[in-house]
Amino acid sequence: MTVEQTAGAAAQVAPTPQQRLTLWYILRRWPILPVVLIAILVTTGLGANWIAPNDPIDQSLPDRNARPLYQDDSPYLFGGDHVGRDVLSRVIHGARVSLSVMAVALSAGMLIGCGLGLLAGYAGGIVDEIIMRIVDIWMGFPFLLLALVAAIIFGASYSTIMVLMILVAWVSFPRNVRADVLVLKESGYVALARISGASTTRILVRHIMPGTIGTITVISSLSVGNLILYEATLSFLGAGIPAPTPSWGNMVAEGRDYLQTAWWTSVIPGTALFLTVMSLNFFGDWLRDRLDPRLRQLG
Amino acid sequence: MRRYLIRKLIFSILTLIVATIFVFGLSRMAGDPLLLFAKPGGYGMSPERVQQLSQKLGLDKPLVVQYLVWLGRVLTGDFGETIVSETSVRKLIWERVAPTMQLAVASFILAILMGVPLGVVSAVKRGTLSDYVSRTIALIGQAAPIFWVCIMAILLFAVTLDWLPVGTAGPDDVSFWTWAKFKYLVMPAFALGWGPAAALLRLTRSSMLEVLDSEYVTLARAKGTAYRVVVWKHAFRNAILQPLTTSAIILASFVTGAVVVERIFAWPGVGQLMTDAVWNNDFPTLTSTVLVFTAVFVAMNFLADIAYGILNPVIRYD
Amino acid sequence: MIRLIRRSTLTALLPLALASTALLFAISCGTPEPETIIQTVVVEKEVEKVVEVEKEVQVVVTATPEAMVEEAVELIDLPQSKSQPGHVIFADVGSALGAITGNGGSLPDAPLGGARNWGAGESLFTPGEADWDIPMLAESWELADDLSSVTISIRQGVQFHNDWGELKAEDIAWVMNRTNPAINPESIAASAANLTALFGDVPVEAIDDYTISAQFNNFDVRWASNFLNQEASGGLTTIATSKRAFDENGRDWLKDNFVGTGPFAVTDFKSGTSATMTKVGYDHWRKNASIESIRVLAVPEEFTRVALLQNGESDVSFIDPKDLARMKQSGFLEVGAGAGIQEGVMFPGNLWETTNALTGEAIDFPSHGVFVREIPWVGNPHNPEDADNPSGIDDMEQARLVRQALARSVDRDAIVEHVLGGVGQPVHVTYFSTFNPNWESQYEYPYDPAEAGRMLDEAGYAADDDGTRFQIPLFVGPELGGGEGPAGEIGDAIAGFWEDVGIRVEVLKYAYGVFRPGLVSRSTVVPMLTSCDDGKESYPFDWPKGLVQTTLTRGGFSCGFESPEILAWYEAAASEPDREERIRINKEYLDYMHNWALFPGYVTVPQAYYANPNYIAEWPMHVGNSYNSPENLVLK
Repeated sequence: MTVEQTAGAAAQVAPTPQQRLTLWYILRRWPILPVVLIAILVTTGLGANWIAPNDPIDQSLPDRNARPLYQDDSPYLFGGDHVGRDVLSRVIHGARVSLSVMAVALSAGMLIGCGLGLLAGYAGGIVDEIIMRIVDIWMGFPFLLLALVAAIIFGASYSTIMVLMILVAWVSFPRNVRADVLVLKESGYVALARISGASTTRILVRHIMPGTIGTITVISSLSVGNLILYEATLSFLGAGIPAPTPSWGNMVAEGRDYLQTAWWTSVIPGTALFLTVMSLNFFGDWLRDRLDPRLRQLG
Repeated sequence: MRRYLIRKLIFSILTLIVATIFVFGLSRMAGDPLLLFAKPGGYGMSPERVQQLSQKLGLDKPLVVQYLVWLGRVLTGDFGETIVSETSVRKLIWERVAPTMQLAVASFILAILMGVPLGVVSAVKRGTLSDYVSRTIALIGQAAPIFWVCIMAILLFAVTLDWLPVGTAGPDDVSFWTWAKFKYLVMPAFALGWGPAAALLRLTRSSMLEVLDSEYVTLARAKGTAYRVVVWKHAFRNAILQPLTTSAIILASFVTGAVVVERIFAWPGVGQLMTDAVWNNDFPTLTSTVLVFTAVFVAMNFLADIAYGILNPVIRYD
Repeated sequence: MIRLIRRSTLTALLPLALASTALLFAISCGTPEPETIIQTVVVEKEVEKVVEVEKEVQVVVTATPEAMVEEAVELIDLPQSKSQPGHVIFADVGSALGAITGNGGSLPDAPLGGARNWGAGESLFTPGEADWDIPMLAESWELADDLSSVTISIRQGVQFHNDWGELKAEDIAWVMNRTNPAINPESIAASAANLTALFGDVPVEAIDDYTISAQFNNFDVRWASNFLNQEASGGLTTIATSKRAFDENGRDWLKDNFVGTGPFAVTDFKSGTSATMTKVGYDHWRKNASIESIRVLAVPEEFTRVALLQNGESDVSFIDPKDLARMKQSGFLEVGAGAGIQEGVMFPGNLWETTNALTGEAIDFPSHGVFVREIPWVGNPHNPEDADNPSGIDDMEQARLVRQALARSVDRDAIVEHVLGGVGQPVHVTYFSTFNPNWESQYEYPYDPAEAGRMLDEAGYAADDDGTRFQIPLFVGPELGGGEGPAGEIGDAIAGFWEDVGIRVEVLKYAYGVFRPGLVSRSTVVPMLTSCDDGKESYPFDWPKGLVQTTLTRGGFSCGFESPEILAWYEAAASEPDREERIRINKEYLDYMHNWALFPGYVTVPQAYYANPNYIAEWPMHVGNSYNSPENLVLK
């Protein structure tokens, strides 16, 4: 809830010490809830094998669409899905699958995107021109359509999805990283380093890259949410992570036809997905205002 | 200004070309196109027929030539025939363009009408209840998968409350401007417009805040200009530029959204045609629909660029 | 965000143009040259006997639920229809079932598929109460004693829609010749190759105004009950249309305009979205419809189809099995032609024939992709002694054990009871209904995970430390809505049972169009959940089986496996006039399929439609796939 409060600090009246201690103030000023939720997500994802009460792909047909909270002899806390698998365990393992896809896609995308951004900003000239034009075209392209075609042609598999995510993820980075580099490369200490004979690599790695970390963090946190939604949409169109591996996206999509009979199969993973994306957006907003108010325009 | 526009135009065209190369390349990577063209359910084709088809598709020529031939045909408005039924793809798309445009325009207007004023209100009344309410609405719109929103809307407004129809585009023999037909558009348009509205709201809000914090607004206020005038005349005019520049991202979500929304509401638009084409591996239909989507998208982007050029007096076009 | 460029625009664009060219070049180098491997299907078999062809009395199996699973279902008030009186709105699954794809016309070589379901198009024969070959547009027929030709009398006084005059023999002959790709290479009708197999390249002739004569190239006992029938197996049938309309207006016109003879005329058609059929304005020769019009809408999402029915916006909806119990309990009216679709898993890659039955050429196996790797479910008779066989077992036996284990590890009754909500029934060998009097329980695969595990151990696939034996993909075929529809759920359930015996499964739910090339080129080894054309519960036991499991269909669709034994049985049955003898042949085929488990069945799923009982009183149909005969529909 702290999105732009801090950024507009100049216009705000400084709070009194009493105000600082109220829960409302703390919740507004620090992204406690989002961070807690993200922490839960990461822990459950990493520890899925220990936390999940059941095997996520172990089916039990008699427990098809078993009701949540152990009602009517249901064996599951959050109910069963259409082949009697434990929804809770699937949500937990889904966190892991979603996390791993996001982690790989984002880090690869980040590597590519930041590399290109650094290169464009530092080299300038024709290199800059080419890279930025590619970014323009990439951004101006309705990527889901292509992703759909690709997923259908190459088969929806874990690796296809991963590649598609990378293709989407990288493009958010270069523009802002490049802007940072342009500023940094004119700064005094870079000029000094250059005069003192530091190599280009050294200048890039030691002097310029650290200056872009803020930007990268902000963009990353805002991208993850989009990637999660993207996977869900692909699942809906039949091109997501293939069954029986659980991902939140394919769980929500698989459960959509049971909303009138077994709402939990779709609503529970849907809630997890929704809270996560929401938390990431809040957290990203907060980071953005903290680290780099210039990045406000990132939607 | 002219050079700026020409530059933008050239990039738009380049985007389109790259898009066609992508789609063409992908569809040929799937394997022997002739095998894709053999009909499902049939027991095969005669060798003469295969020969004929391969000549017609130019499969005996190098791929670059095939691509250029295809591109040349597309430019003259010949999208070819579908594989499933040998129907003219142009005719198919033509039947579907109107519903998709209705949906896109309606949701675009909705997005602007919802996103921009709420964004301004939310910035001006920062920290108040209306700020939180509008931002929560925005965040829900951005954090829920669009198909989920559609299904929930149908459950609530159609099945439970019976206020609006479940889906389809309604009867054909009724004018678009009557409620009997228009009511079919309401839910799909809201579902499709919500995400973009949310994005617009957040963008408008943050750039309004930035402008409201800036020195010249402070100066204007110091000079005694009325707050309303400051907000609308000074701040708003500057703040609206940023959402405009990001319209590419907003528009991209329209294209994705249309595919999903049309499928759930059984809305007879290009999006549904595209998913059908994907499921049938109908290569000519698929490439043409992707092309149409991209063209619409690029054109709208170009319009946004022009609007940006007109609205922003300080831009240096060169 | 506008960047400032000082250089000329062209310089900036040059690299990009270069990049795109390079990309294009890369793509062109990366794709192999297309190779033409599609050939005509010719069923070669001489018929010698001179006997009247016998046929089996049809066993109609409707998949009506016997007992509904007791499930807490929210009863909803049945809606009032929002349709205008006399008009019916029908929400169908759309293109997934091929109902509304295609053009809107009656061009024989690219016909409108749904026309026969919608009461607009009519064929020579139709299934009836007891027999499959009830004359429709045909009145009577006479087979030559040596089964080399047939003479068919056409019904008199049948009118075409829109004043295109009376149906004549020359219309029928023209339609059949135009559909047959051996005569008209342009034909893309789904039933095209059937006609080539049947008639070869000899055109059907109109002897007089009401009589046609046709020469058989390869006689198949199903010529009337299936190939020239309203309910054809391979795809469409030959729907009667006006030659005069074609002569006067041309091919393209006939593609967009439907000229048929049914009780309804197609008055509006938008490919993939909607079709409207309006009652004809004259006395129809067969039956006058009691409703004014029926409008079929393509609604891809199951959720939406249910909601449309619940809201009174559609009067009939296609319903997935998962919602059947609920619709029934809510009081909706079940309609539909009642034929169940058998979902089995076929195992492509088992290519056991050594010569191509069409061309007589030897098939080159060493270079064939499917035998390059050791695939647990693929047996290689050409090189049976590979390295990974356990001692005393060759590759054929190893793979047979694996397929048997896969067939035995699934609890079919549990899928029927829980996933299908009590509708449907188990099936053990696809193409054979367990309700048929000729079916014997010895052909069942009992649910026995322990035995399955033992077989896998014996085949050399012992479980490793985390219980995994091997990995298998499972593609969900296009019937019943594919991965998104009920077939997807069945696929999930089968995968779950396989997982239980230690086999890791990846359920593939992408488009059939992607999968099909591998089947056509005989290069895939991915098992597929499908009915493979003839897996229809209502098809008689004595019909020749396995045409698409032989090299006869090389270059076209197949079940992915080929066997010389199946080829021999198919050829024998197709030309065998004696029904008892065909049953005997098919039992041999059944025994072989059961033993080698090339195509074990799992469950039969009904194609079910539910109607709004406040609006629709009844809709009787003849047996067949999906639905038909809207002229029989009676409103309240």
